[in-house]
Amino acid sequence: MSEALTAILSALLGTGLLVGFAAVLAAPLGIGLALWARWLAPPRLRPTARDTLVTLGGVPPACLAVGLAIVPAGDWASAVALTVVGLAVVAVPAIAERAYETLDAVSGEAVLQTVSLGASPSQAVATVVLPQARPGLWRAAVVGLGRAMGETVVVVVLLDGLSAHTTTLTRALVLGSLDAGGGTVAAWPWTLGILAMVGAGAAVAAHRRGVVR
Amino acid sequence: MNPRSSWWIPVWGWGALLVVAALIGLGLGLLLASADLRGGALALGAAGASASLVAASLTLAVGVAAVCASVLELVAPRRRGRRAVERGLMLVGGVPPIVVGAAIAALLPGLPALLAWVALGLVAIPRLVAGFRRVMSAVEPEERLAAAALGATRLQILMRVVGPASLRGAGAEILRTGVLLFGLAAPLLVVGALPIDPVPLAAIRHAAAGEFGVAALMAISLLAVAIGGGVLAAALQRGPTWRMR
Repeated sequence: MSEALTAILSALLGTGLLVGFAAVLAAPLGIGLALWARWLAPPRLRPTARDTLVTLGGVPPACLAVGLAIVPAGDWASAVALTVVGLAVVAVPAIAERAYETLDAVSGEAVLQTVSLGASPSQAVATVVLPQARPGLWRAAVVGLGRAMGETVVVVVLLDGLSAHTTTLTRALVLGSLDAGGGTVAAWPWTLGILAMVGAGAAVAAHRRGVVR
Repeated sequence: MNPRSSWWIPVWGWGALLVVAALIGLGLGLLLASADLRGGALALGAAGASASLVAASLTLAVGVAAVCASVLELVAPRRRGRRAVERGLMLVGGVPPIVVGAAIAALLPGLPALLAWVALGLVAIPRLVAGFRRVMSAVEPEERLAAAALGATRLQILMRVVGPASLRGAGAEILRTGVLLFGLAAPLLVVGALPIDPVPLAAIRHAAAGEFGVAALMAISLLAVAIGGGVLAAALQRGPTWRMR
């Protein structure tokens, strides 16, 4: 196997593993946060909670990267674990924002009817809201996954110092373009790889389109 | 699972809130504890560089996005290509910023500062178009209908009804996009050596060099801009809306 192919496969595998672990952390947190902001928060707090989600989504990844870089990471495993946490933190607001939109789109009348039949608000959320919002929640998770996949700064800062074999497509793209003196001729395979992965995510999201069935 | 058992809903929601709040508190505490105020001058210089780059990119993006959104929303509402353009914009909006930077650098080799300006502008355009369209579509349909019933053309409806009613929301979208561009480092990493030193790049460079005090100060300034911009945008959007007299 040629060296270039090995490098690309290694970057693909690295991206898949890091983003996969990050998604396992981020999806329940993001959807839970949206659930709280839309249905569990005191009604007076809900508009503020919604604005806070949007503001959290605007926090630059460079902040997270610097914050996590301060944590001493002695060995390979802790550097990779910190990177997974960083990617998850990047993905949580993206997931929460879209999940909130999905939960908000569920008909309030259906919830009201369920509650008027004697269900508690939590039962209404569990039996009416979540089943109706499920396709949209999947979509939100995929969008967050795409955000984590394209994340560069967290990966570049937190994996700094590790060998080129522990890499992702975005890190390889940055390192490749730096090697080429700022040019990007060497970076095309990585660019195409990122596009292909994000495109696959978008296709999955489109397949699960629709908020309420 | 028994459909009647729903104890896990509040546990899930409140648990997620607690975990995220703890993470935010921990990160903020780490940054505040590590910040070195002696790097203040560096941070101010970097903030100036970032602000000028963002302002230049927004100048490019806002005009293009406003025209695109207006055409999509009002002037060509029933054209066949509209759906395709919408999907195309959605796809372009989902492309990671680093890919935009790499593509620009490969297609238009030249001055890195120029490339950075164009790359940030291109990242901003799809977001602004989506935001402007959201704001424009939130204008009451009755107001458009009333104007149309009085004989106004589509352009007149755009300029005299939808435009004034969308100003606050559009301002909020521009502010949010500006904040996003202010903290964006990925496209700047691949366009080459820049003559200026924007905040996110400076923060990354200092963190990589082990100078965590200065890096933390820069990260705090990024955070302050992000939170301040977000709060301001939310306030702008919630303000009194325009009503037809």
